[in-house]
Amino acid sequence: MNCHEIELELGDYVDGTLAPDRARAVDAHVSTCVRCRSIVADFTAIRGAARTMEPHMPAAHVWTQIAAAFEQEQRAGHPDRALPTSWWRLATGALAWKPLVAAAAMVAVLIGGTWLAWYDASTRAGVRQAANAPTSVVTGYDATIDAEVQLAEQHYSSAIGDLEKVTQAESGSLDPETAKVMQANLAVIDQAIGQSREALKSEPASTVAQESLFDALRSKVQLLQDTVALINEMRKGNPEGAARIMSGMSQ
Amino acid sequence: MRAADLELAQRCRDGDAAAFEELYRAHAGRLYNLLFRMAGSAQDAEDLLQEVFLHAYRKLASFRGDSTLGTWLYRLAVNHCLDVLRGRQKKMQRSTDSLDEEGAMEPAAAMPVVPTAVSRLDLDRAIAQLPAGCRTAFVLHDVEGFEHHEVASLLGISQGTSKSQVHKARMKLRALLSGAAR
Repeated sequence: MNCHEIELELGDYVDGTLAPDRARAVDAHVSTCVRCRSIVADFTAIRGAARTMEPHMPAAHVWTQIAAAFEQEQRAGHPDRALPTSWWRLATGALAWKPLVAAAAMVAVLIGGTWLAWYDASTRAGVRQAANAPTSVVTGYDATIDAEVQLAEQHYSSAIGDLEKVTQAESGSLDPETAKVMQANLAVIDQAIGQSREALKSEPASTVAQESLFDALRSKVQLLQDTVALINEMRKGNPEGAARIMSGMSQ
Repeated sequence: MRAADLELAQRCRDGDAAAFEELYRAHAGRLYNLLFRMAGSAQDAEDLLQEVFLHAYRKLASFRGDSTLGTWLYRLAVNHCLDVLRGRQKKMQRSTDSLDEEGAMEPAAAMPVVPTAVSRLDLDRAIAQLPAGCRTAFVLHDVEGFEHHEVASLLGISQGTSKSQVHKARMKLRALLSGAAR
């Protein structure tokens, strides 16, 4: 038996799923072959690490987005029924809290967030395309990219403004310690936004500076969305939901 | 369990918001983890998770309770993610990594090259660098713990292909992790 014949069986050998006679044959080969022994050792290490990997968990805002998308789906008539009365109220906590204003702000923010995610991706794709294009083409792109970056930043700022109105109006719903942590996090993000803007001002064509600014703006949108979700859970009197959001925010 | 699943599915179909949130809370963690590892980034995993839940809502009428709701959702997530990954692959004209392709083996080192205690961060990064086909088989088999016949059933491939894809992934990870260890 040579290495080539045995190599595909090494996986089953490490998994412990080889038939006993094949396992004995592989045992015998591995005991005399340094190369196959090293593969077995590495496969064992990889398999062991893979089985004990930390799970990734979705951020709190993902549910808020899914709830809003579900709401829109139902409004559009999927699958075959009218809008349920409870859904949107549950998602926004509106039964207990300024229903129309809160719902309107959330709709604007969620639709804006979806649009921004798409717009950001397409802008980035455009920026990358420009970076890889010949110089003459890049010159033609510059004005367009600059305008697109500015437009995208305006939309981010608009979404952030809407979210800030909601969080500021309802900040009393958060306990003082949580509110303090949120403010500290926002200050850090604002500082990053300021630094990115400065960098972009001195190097307008820098894709690193553009991406850095969008990353910082996206972080702020996400933090504010999570804060709105947290406020909703607290107003609903749902400590478990609030704890889930806090846990997601700390990841 | 099946009766409870059928009841939950019916409540979701009736537009019961609390039921849909219950469905999300029960299964989002496992599905997101799978999608994150299959797609390789948090942003993609979030988008995919949203699509999977909306897709599930539209298809709940086809849930008959033959499997658990969790298994049904899992299969839906795997298939949807594979469709998206295949679409991207096609778009990028990468025809070299289909699920059934027998990949070229990495040259094997004569000594173990992977640290005994592999950093989870390094492993996460290395998995994200695998070609989509073998990454999916590896995630399902080595991370999620499915047997090869289950991976084959989920992906619609033969058991032998599942084994060769997991082998290919492990060999590539071995090369990637030996670089990370240096």
